[in-house]
Amino acid sequence: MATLPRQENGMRIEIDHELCSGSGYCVRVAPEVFELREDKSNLRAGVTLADIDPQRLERAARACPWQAIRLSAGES
Amino acid sequence: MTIPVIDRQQFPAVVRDGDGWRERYDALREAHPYFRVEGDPAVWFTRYDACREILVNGELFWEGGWGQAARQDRAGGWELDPAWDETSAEEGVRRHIALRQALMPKFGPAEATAWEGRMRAVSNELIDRFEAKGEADFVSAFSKAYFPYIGAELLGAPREDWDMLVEWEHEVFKVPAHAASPLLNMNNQAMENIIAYVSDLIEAKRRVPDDRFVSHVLRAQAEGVLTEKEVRWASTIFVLGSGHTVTAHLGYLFRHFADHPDLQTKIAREPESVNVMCEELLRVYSLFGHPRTVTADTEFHGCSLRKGDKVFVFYGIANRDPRAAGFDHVELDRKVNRHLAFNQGWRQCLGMHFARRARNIAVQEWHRRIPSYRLKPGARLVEQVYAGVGYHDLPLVWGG
Repeated sequence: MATLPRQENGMRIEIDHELCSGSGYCVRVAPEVFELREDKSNLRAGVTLADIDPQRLERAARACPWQAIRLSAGES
Repeated sequence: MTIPVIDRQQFPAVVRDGDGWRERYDALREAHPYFRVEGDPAVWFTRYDACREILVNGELFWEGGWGQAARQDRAGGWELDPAWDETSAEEGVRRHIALRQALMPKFGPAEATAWEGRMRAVSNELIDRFEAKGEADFVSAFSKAYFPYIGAELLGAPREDWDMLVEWEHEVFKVPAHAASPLLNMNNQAMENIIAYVSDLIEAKRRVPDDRFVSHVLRAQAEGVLTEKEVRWASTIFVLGSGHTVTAHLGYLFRHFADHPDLQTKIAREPESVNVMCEELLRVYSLFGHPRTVTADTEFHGCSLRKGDKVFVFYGIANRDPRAAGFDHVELDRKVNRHLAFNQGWRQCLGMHFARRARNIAVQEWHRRIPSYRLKPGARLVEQVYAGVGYHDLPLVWGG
């Protein structure tokens, strides 16, 4: 039950909505990237991953108590 | 603004025949956004938004004892919170999240799915013992042992120890009927027994490891991910977490179902309806809560708090706040349920997925085997208000 993966410029991001319980720490760390919709984390519309500092995304993923945000190397 | 102090007579630990305690707590919430209970320093916050903020903001509202809650000191007090200010609490929250991530492989939804077969088997083994009798005390015959059995197996405890663990888990959360506060006092023999048992089990698994929880945390220790104290804490909390919450939750569910035969019919016909239905009933009949320690002077929702103050969130108060979207009515098919019954944020119940899955299966299997039942006529229900097992007993009858 994950959000559809997004991948751009060598980075892939996926949010597991079965794990996500809406604590919102990802939004706290990177509010320009994440938002809560119906108590689940989602990427904001119009976000371009290539414009986001990868370390910021990693901090957001690490902040999640449920490890619901998965970052991996995607296809370039 | 002065914090109101409420007469502690309004907070009995144990009630008979309901006593209207939830409605009384609802009225306190509507009258007071926060209050103290006479004789206790903790500030109870009552409104959903404030409570959610307390639970999520671990830097300002710290819950310590992490890694150190294995034993109370001789004076009966818990060891002091290791974090006393926002900076150290911030580090503590980060550390806690990293540690729970080390435990996640044993707690995720996929792991819970893998255990569904055992959950169904345990449900049916218990029901086998009493179905033909046409009556049973739901608590002593079913819910007291159901999740604790599953927890014991997950932990790696030998089968011959399960009933002993069930008894200790039952006793550790009991409060005397005339206790000054409805909250817990776990300074008892059962707690000592659990701590000693877990210590012995850890050593046994160190000698002969397996694929269960204690061995998992020992491997994490060997890899340098967890400390010895954290291994003990995680294992002890695992036992405590298995022991009362699902038991109490099932009791409240079946009390409600016993009064609503239409829901019994619905569950038997539409077992897939159980999850959202039971989540809503968990919201309405919440159990438990959590204290926090304030790490810096702050003005919080109109209340002046100082560093070192204790605050308290009682889930059953916050979860019935009509100010929270949709919480002004009961909706048994509510799709998005933002209740706080599993805590929220960095200390959210790691066993949440297991608890939900086990709860759903217990309800489904019961109604597959016993689709219609009622409260035994004349039953007088005794209930522990906060945590523990909820109803002390719940006599049900069927057939005939």
